[in-house]
Amino acid sequence: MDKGSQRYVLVKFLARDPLCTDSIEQAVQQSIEEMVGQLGSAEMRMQMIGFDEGVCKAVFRCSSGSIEKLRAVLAVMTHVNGNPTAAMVLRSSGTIKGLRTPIRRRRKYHARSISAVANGASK
Amino acid sequence: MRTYADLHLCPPLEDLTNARSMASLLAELQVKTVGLVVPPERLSPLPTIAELFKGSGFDVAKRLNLKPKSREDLLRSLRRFRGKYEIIAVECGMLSVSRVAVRDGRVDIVYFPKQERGNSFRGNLASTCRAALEINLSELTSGPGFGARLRSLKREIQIAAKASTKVIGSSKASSPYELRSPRDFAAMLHLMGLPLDSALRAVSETPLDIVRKNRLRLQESELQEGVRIVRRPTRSG
Repeated sequence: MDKGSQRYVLVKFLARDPLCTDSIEQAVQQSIEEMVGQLGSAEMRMQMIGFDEGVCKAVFRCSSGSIEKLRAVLAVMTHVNGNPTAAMVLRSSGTIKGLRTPIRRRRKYHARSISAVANGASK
Repeated sequence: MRTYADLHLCPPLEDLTNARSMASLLAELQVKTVGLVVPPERLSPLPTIAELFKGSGFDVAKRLNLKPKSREDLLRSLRRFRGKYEIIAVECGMLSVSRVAVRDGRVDIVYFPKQERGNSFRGNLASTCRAALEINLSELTSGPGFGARLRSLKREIQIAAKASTKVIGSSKASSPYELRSPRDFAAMLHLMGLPLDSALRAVSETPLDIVRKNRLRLQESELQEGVRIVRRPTRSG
């Protein structure tokens, strides 16, 4: 089956009480069905990749044509298990690797360029 | 990179902890300009939270929300406060007020509270509207009847798009839990029928333009709209 292109989003959750992975996934799924229905939900092919409870950030995957829908769904989410929660997309990318902060990527690039220069000099 | 703005923040003016967490979250969401609701009695001196937002690197615009009971009440308030605020918004709770508010050039923003039944942004208002129509996210998400509110929002956006009325998106947040990413809100407006570029403008260029124009107007109050001083003659000529 052709999966088509996909997008990954890094989402920050801000909640009064601590959140757990299952409750987040359920709440997002429920919000999707409330907003775009079951057909829309099936077309979105949303899946939670992971959730870091320490920093309250999650990575979601969806089909690339549904990224705006996922953003809208997260914008209207107000509660998770009766706990007031705000969800906001921090970054979106075509790969999970791309969700890393640009500073880290730049450093990596910088390190690579330095090592390339160093290798050139040694030759 | 796009600069985002949220022109409707109404945090409690005394709660510094709340304001501090809102400021840090807004900075993370790449918001640069905020509109802070300041009542006239707290205008001078400015509340501490305005200084807190300025200290956090935000461009703070003072905003007044007018809730007039009648047309005369609205005109009186506009005469009194236009020269003191960067943003004047009118809550259109009555049709008689809405008719004047959308036409008056001194009004920057109009918004329609969802509690008022039978009062919404209609075609006849849209055709004469000079102000920007504001969509507040917290009004959309709070309370029961989410489906009905989505329907009415979709209708209002369609009417605004047809009449080329400016639309802006704001959070109307009073706590960090009500804040949302402007980019997400643009996606929401896009899903409701606004083209994506217009939706993105609704959370960036359009609100920034309102603040910029009004600051110019406050500096040079005697000039007509659209006129600005480029250069003043020097003594030597």
